[in-house]
Amino acid sequence: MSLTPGDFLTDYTLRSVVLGSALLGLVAGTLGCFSVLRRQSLIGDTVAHAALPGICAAFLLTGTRDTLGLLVGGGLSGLLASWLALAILRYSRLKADVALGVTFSTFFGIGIALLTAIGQSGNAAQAGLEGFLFGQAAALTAGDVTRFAALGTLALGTVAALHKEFQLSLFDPAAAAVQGWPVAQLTALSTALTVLAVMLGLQTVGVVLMAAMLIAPAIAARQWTRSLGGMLRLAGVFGALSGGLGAALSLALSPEGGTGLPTGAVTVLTATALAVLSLLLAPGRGVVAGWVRHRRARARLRRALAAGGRR
Amino acid sequence: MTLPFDLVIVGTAVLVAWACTLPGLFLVLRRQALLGDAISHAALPGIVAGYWLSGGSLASLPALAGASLSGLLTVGLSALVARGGRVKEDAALGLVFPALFAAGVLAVSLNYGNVHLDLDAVLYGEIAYTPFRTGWLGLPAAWVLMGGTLLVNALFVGGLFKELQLATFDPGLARTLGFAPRLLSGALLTLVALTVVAAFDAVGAVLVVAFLVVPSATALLLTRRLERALALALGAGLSASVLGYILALALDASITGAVAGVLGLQFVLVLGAKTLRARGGTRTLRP
Repeated sequence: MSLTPGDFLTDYTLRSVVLGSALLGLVAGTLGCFSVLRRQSLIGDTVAHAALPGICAAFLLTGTRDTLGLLVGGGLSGLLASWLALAILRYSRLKADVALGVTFSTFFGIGIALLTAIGQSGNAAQAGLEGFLFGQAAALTAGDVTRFAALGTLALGTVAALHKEFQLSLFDPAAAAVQGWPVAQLTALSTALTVLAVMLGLQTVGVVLMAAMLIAPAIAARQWTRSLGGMLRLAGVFGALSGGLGAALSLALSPEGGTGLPTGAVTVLTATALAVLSLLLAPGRGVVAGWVRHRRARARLRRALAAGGRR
Repeated sequence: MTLPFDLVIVGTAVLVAWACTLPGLFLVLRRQALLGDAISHAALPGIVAGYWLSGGSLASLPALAGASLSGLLTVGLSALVARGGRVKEDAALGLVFPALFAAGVLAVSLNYGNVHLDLDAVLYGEIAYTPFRTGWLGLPAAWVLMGGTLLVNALFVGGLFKELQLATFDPGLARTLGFAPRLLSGALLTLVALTVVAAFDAVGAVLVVAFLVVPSATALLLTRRLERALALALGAGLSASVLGYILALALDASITGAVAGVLGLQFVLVLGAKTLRARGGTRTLRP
């Protein structure tokens, strides 16, 4: 279909999809900063996979594919998995990636076992339960947008209110503990907010996109600033930009009469492009800036050597 | 020659476990434990390219070659992004594999919108079906594939054990001594990519991701010596394969799920026992 920019303001579906994706990007981008800085970037991937046993259990308990029930079940098992990973980090010398890998594969394995059991039971309602994990093409409604806005405000409000505490327990947990802050609980809380963001996006955009939306905006933002506050805000902006732009592009570029480009894929690629551009072009930290600095230093050294040789 | 089903399945599980554990232990030590999962997603564009090059057949050889190349691309690109320290390794991997997966999804939707072409179609083997695929000498195909992979991995890790150890724990010293740690890491990660894709084909991604990480993580809870960790990890993979299969039969559940579950249970038991013992130790010191 061919679209004019005005359509995005007037058309109900377009507006919901673009606004919903932008909100998701805003929330995920902001919260992703914590996991990237903690070297737990792939926690989104872990939580999203670890939701499977909870989704299956919720289905077995309720017997329906009621979205809210499945999401709550998935959220609870994702939360359990992420806290288990934090416990492994606390009680062993293992690193974050290993802790995430262990919980990831265990939970996903149990989820597969449950999924097979549901499949064998021959319940007609189970069809498409796997599809749940991989996201439906942008089918966002105004109701979803309202829900994203409410839960997103809750998550970002918590970050704003506890900014100082989160910052100290992130960068200097020992100092935070000495000052009497409950470091373990603060870490658990910021992880729980990440789980909330993942569950918000899981149903609409799928596992892999959620993993990317936590990471790419944070990488992009980190290149432009040295302060946590600045990084959080910029990552939110980059996330919202890639969500909104990705959704708009996927709708606008769809071939005539085609099924439409997958919104999730276009959004991931937009976020990746922003991250790559930031890595290359950011002043100071960027690759180009580093290359120019290197060239100048070489030229200066060569001049100094030439001047020294003449003396 | 027909082998009993049980033997074929448990044998396949053990071969996959050992083939994955050998390079997996080094991945775990190098903070790259989630590489297996990353490759399982990033393989998609390679599969699409293989499909396109072979003129639209879903034969497994071009698809597997494409998947392996995608895996190598994942490894290479994330190393490139992480170089220079602008981005940490875990974040670099998390930037690269979703982008490759998204490119694959886009390519499928643009060109093959009406073909069922996704990861399930090519890469997701199922361990329960291994007795039905026969290969060379009448042996199960999975045994031939994974036995060969295990042999290559065992030769690599066994032959270069000291060098790998040095390059993993002190790459700076390794470079100073002239051991080319970069080349060695490249070879290790290439081997991981090939192993992972072969094992995906044989038993599916879930089990591969689990075998790459969990046995080594369990072993590293128990010892700080690399040789001992390797032996313990191989043992953990063996026991999880056997116990998981027995559990799957008893509960009539998925073999993949049961084996992964037993692996996780072993890890939790070891961690719990260790933590309790450490607590008991400190308590006796108190007045």
